[in-house]
Amino acid sequence: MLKLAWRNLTNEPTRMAISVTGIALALVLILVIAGIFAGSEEFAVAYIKNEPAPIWLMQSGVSNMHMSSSYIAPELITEAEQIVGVKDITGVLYSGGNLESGEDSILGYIIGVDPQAEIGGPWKLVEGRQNPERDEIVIDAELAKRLGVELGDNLSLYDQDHEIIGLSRGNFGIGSSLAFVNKQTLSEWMAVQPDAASFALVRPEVGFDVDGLAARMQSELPDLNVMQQAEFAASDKELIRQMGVDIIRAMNIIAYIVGLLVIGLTIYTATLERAREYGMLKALGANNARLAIVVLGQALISAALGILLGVGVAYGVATLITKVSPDMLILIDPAYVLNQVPIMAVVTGLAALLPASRIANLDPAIAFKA
Amino acid sequence: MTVPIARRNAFFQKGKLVLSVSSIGASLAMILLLMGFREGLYSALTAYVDNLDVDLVATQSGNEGVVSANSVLPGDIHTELEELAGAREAGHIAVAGVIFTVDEDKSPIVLVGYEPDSGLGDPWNLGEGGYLEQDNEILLDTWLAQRSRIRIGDTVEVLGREFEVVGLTRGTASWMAPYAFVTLPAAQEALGLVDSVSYHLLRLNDGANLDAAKEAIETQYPNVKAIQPDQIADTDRRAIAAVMDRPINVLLFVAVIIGVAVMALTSYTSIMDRLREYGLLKAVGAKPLRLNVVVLQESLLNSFLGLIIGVALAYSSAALIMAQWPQFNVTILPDSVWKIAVLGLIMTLLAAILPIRRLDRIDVLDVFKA
Repeated sequence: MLKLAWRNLTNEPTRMAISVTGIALALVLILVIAGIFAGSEEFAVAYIKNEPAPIWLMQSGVSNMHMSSSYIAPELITEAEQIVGVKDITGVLYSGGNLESGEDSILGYIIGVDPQAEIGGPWKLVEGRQNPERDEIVIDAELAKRLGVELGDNLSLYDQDHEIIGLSRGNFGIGSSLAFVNKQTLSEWMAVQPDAASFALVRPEVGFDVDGLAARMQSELPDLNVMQQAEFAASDKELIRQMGVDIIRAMNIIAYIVGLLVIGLTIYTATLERAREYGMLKALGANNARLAIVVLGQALISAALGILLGVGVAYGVATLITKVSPDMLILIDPAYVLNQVPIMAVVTGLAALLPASRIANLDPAIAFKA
Repeated sequence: MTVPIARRNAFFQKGKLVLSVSSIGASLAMILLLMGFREGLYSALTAYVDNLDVDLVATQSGNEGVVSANSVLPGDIHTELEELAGAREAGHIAVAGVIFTVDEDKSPIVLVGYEPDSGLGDPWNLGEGGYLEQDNEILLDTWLAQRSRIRIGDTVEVLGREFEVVGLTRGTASWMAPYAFVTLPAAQEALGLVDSVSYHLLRLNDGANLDAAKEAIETQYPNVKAIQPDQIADTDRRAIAAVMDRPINVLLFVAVIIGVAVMALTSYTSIMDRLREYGLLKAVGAKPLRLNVVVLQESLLNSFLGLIIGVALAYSSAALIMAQWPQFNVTILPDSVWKIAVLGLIMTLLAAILPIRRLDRIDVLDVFKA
């Protein structure tokens, strides 16, 4: 029966190719949208993951960096520095802003770093230096390309020109672009004291247990939220994931409906074409269940080929887009791909219902008509 | 008398017609929904500014958005700004992006601190409950409250401070960041804005010269920009578009290719079904151009019917999506429908290439085969 299903499908290779392509593209849509959010998650936590600070301090009630606001008064940082086990604390300021060059503008997060600080700035510098003084800025090399600027050029931020003194890597993502400026300058812009911070990066003394230190800091600093690096990164990832879950679900439903209709149209048409042959099989004693298996077989073969093609195209699209537009990282999770298989199987089964019922109502006498 | 071959071909098999037209409709609906999602996202984001009902907003120079920027201005220039502008009413607000967390659920929100007595900057549509009276009260968006299972009278935490929910607003939902409202002093305290605000709001006298008011303010305070609310909305839209347009365009591109594939499948299937008949027409002298026109006519008819279904499906799906997921504002503009119609026409022409080429290769001798 499966051989018959295969023959029916491949009888018209062009139609089969178009149909498989349609199914594949529906799957590409599903995988790409999920991949965009997965990529956004990675970019959103790049700063937290790459800074060498096992413990992070932030305002009480804050547990995210992305799309968030936090304020730590200078005296709290001073208090934190006195805690036994703390080697040093680096405070950074964090705000949003538009990086402008001519008519081009990119919304990003602006991080104010102390030029003397060892950490808190860009973790991968490809050109120039990374300690911005007043009216200086470090941006991602890909962002510079997008804005058409180079080292030594000026970028406008908050209506002030900033000279690009360094180009970094890994800071340019959709909705997560980072730029580094002088902390003193940013504090003036944000109307806070220069020693205040949005987030503080804590490095423990060598050999000190990080878990114990974090717990102790939390109990001694009730006005702050103390988070370990992995926990902080996970919190931001979870935020992005929760933002994406409903939109992914909505798009998936639409894409599955399209996939269902494409499979249904293909199989239904193939069934109509072979009406006489099915009638002949019925006349020879094949029951409806066996013929339904043929129909289902065609649907499953189309779906399987569509899935294989779709996965391949999705990975290809993801690679191509990320190459052309590095800020749009599309990460396709193999586990997520596997999760789509049972759903596609159900969709395929549904798509086969109409053609199967057509065959069930077929009069075997059709085999003998002229 | 000419025979309407295209129409007869299309309507001969009702089941196939329904599937074909539904597939095309679903593909076009998918494109319309993506466009509607993009449009709705921007209008939801700028809802607060669009409903501000003031003539001028004084903002920090270089920070001319609400959602996309972090403006900070001294609070004590309020009276002077009012005098310079010749305003009859003035108020100020504090605005910042924060993360609203309830149990494990996280939502980015735009927190607005306004002065309840001023009548400026307050929510424009209170669905349930009352307005703010105390500093420990908060107004939440209705969708956000439902999602977090919060009711009026409940206590929530924002930036480490507790607030009692006294009202639920409408028109403030957004997938990216719904709005929440507290009093200005509460926002200043939570955000660490000592004697600072984000924006000054000005209502001028009837017939006042807007440009003169702007110039007076900006001359006196070079770091202040006096702009109209629609300019702020425009800045926000452009900033978010720079982030969101590219991933949405990737999805739109894939959706368009799906649509072309579905249309090609429909047209090709129709040709293959009628291969002998077309061969017969060729045998009795029909020119290739005439046959191509028939194919095009049938494709256009299917696409036209698909467009009608697609538009209806898009509007009803948009209503369903917004009912199920109120944080999504799917706005399908009449302009988008026209664009889809034109796009559908182009897609139909592209999709007809393959079937037309197949038609050109028909051997008239096929007509006489058993």
